[in-house]
Amino acid sequence: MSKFPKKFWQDKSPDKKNQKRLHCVASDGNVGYSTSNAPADSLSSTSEASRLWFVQNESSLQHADAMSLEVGRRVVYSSNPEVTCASESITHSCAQIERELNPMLMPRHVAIIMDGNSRWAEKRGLEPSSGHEAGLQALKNVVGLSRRWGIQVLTVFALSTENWLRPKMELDFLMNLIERGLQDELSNFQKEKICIRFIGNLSMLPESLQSLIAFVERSTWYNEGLKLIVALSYSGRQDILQACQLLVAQAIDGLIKPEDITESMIDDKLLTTLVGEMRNPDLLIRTSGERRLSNFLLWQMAYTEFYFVDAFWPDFGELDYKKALLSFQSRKRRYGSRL
Amino acid sequence: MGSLWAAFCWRLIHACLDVVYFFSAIRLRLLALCWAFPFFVQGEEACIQQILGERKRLPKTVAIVLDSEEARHGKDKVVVLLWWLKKVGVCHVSLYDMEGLMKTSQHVLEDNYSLSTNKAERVHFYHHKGRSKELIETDDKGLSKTNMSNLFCVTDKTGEAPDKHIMLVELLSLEDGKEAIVRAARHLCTSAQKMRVESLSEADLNESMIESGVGGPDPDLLIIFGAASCLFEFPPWRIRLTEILYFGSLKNLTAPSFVSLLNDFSKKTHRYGK
Repeated sequence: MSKFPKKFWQDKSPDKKNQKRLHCVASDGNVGYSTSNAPADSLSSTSEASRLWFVQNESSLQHADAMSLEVGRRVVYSSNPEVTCASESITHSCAQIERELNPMLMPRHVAIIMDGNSRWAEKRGLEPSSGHEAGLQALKNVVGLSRRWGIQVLTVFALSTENWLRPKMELDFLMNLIERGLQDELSNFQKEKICIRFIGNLSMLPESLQSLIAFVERSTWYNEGLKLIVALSYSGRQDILQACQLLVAQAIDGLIKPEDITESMIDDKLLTTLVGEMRNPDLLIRTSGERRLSNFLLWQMAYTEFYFVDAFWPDFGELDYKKALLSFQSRKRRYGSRL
Repeated sequence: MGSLWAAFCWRLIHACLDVVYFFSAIRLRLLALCWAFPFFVQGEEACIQQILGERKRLPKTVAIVLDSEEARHGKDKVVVLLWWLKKVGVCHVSLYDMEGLMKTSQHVLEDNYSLSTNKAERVHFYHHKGRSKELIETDDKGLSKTNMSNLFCVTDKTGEAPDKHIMLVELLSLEDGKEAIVRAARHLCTSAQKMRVESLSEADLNESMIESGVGGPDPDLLIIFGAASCLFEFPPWRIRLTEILYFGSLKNLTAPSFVSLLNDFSKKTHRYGK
């Protein structure tokens, strides 16, 4: 077990109510919390993998796996003897953001309909391609924020089956953009331990993109961090239909009886079953002011909280995302039951 | 003496601020009333007629989702809402609550629906009885019990009732949502013996749901009433392109706020992915 410095940070929290709490951003991007003056000997580092850790009281830690902990961009704790430690107070602005979001009320699965790229470009007198480029940057930002704030699954609606009606030039650009984006970000996915998966009718995509998608999925298959699901050429109705087709085929083959078909069996055959028990989004965010599902995760949205925002997707930033999460955290979810 | 004088001045300042805030609040309320004043003067009916006169895009099929509390205590308001929807030309309403309270209170809804007995104001309540597709009437005169499929064939495509003066109110519950898709999948097992499973299409599943007695039109607009902004397992197959608006508590619904909902709907544009 590594030796920890006895007093590795000071409590300089300006929040008088929570004076004993500090929110820190670990160097790997995960968020950690602690009461002040936690005794060093109670800390333990068990593995190199960095995970969310949480201190409930001054005498114990649930688990602390961070290799090094930065506060205000200074290392205040490190299990690596080569990295110097210091006691510093929090000054980084990110700490303020994390301080307001309650990690215990964070949605596990967030779904986003990234709408408004073309209108964003049109408003600026630009080509739709510029909107899609800006949209890709916004997506990278949101993925980083999701990872940092402890969201476990992020599903984004990149292309619906209805989008195939768009002009060929725009579609070709989109396909190239997705290819470029995946190639550029693959190393980042590995570094940040993001597991990326694609759902939808991928057979409609260009072969080069299909191959790249397969490669990226294989490469990130065992990553244990944020699960990023990209819905490409996806239709919620088609998702339900293919689940029913699989079960009907099994019934025809005599593997199951028709009367054995249940809701949970359909659930298990949907394309989102790859994230297990977190398949149903807790929060849906849709940008650009539209208030429709547009054929996205129809079956899975039974108890999903909706948050519709007027900003176009390229303009959706940290503040908008935080507002959406804070809105979610303020809601009482009853899943249809009475209080 | 000095401290008494200071305390007096302090209280005087607070009193002046209270007076300022009081009149400011009255001013804001008067402004709000001025906006709604025409509606109050004209009455609810005139308020509804006004939006019709503005020739805005209005929904033809509407879904209303109620959480358990609203379904339990808001039946009177639901009847008023149905009347307003009838007035703005909606021809099909899907009224949904998870527990089926609207279904079990169907007679209460019918009795409370106290509009004129004019034929122009008729509303037909119905619900799916599993495999049975009976239409339940609101009065004994007029239409006899009609096979649902005849009516649904029309409402499925256009949302229009065969008689333009009739608004159909479909009462839905949990069994009409995901469970309906399950029944449709079971039904497909028999019909799919005759065709390749791979060629099954959305239309086949849709048809299977109709055959199972749970078909219905896709609503243009879905309004959620309750504490949570979620669908409470409203039939997922039908909400592909539905506009979703969350209102909150039914008790806060007024004619101006209803008109505001319709105004919100009319501003939305459908690009259908393009």
